[in-house]
Amino acid sequence: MKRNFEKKPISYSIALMHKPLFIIWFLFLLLPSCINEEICEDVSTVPVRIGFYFDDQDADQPILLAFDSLKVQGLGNDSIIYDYRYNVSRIELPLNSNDQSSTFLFYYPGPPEIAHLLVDTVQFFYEVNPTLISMECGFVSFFELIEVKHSSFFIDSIAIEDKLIINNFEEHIKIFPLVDIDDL
Amino acid sequence: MKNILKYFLWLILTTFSVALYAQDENKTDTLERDFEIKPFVRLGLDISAIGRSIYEPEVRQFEFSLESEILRDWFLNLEGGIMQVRSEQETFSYSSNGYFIRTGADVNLLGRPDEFQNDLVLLGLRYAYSFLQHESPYYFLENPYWGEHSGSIRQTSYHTHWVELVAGVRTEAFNNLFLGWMLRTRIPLFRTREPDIEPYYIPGFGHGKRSSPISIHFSVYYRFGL
Repeated sequence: MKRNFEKKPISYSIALMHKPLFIIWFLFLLLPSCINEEICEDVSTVPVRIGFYFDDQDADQPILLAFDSLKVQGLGNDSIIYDYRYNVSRIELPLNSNDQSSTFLFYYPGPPEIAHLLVDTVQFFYEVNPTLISMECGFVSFFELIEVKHSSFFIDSIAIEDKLIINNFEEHIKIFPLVDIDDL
Repeated sequence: MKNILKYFLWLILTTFSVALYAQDENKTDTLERDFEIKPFVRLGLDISAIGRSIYEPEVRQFEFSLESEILRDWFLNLEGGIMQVRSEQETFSYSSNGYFIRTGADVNLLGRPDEFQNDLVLLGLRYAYSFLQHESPYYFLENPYWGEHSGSIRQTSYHTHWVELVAGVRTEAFNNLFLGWMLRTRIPLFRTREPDIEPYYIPGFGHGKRSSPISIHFSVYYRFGL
């Protein structure tokens, strides 16, 4: 049976008119599927991101604080992560993938003879979730925070904002130091 | 990424504007629509996997589809496939095997004024299920501060259920031979809770951790009359 184009409604004419277009689309659209957009970040362990805040009852949001100087070191590790860095508001700490917890020492500035006493201990408890990011990047350690314990020399409280430590730039922890409101 | 989204948006809008315009025209169409639907099965093969295997040879997926017109302009669909992932590198080894099935229906927005009109502009819904088993016999993680970490993950199973909204076109390039593409957006429903490891690739769904909100699939179809 021959097709009778004259009796076809406009919809069919449109379909015929667009048939070459459909085929071109089909071929053209194959191209994006072949584009590899993979960008491999040079990180195999995602750090826990921490901010220091003052909880002002009159403000809607906690106020970001800046330490004059801060030294941070992992317990049992000789390497210093932050060596009395000035004007510190946010820090990033690497968690230990070989263990279910990591402990860090926060040293505050003071006279050399008592500097070792001006310290707080912060301990993170977590689950390690090794994740295959891509064939190019391989595995990356993600973490799920369970609990954070701390001493109270200069730290008033700690809040877990985001317990999932994955490859984004969210802040995971808020630390609220003991602050004299007159000093602000 | 924004450009790609704009591109897809343009594609969808132009496609469906043609379809809707065509539907408006049908309202004044005086042709009788009394032809019978001849029973058929259209067998489709997803050829997107060929393109994907070029830049990601570790992932191999075979996907087919079967569809039949149960009512005028309504198509019942059954889709399925198998997947295999194999990668052995210096820092890790990973393997995965799985399958998926999808079922649902499509409606043809273009309409069929007569039995010779076989081009389709489709909108549809799917329910999908996927199963896989995967393992990592070894992996190493660099940690500049605490030192290297190594481990292995035993073979475990993973299930996923999801629904898909699909839209696309199909055109009869030659007699009974069709070319088409479908855009798919997925809404996860259930999945294995707290797996030892998130799957790298979920059969029929895509990359487990970084699946795109919209994916596009290109297929070749052949219609068999019954």
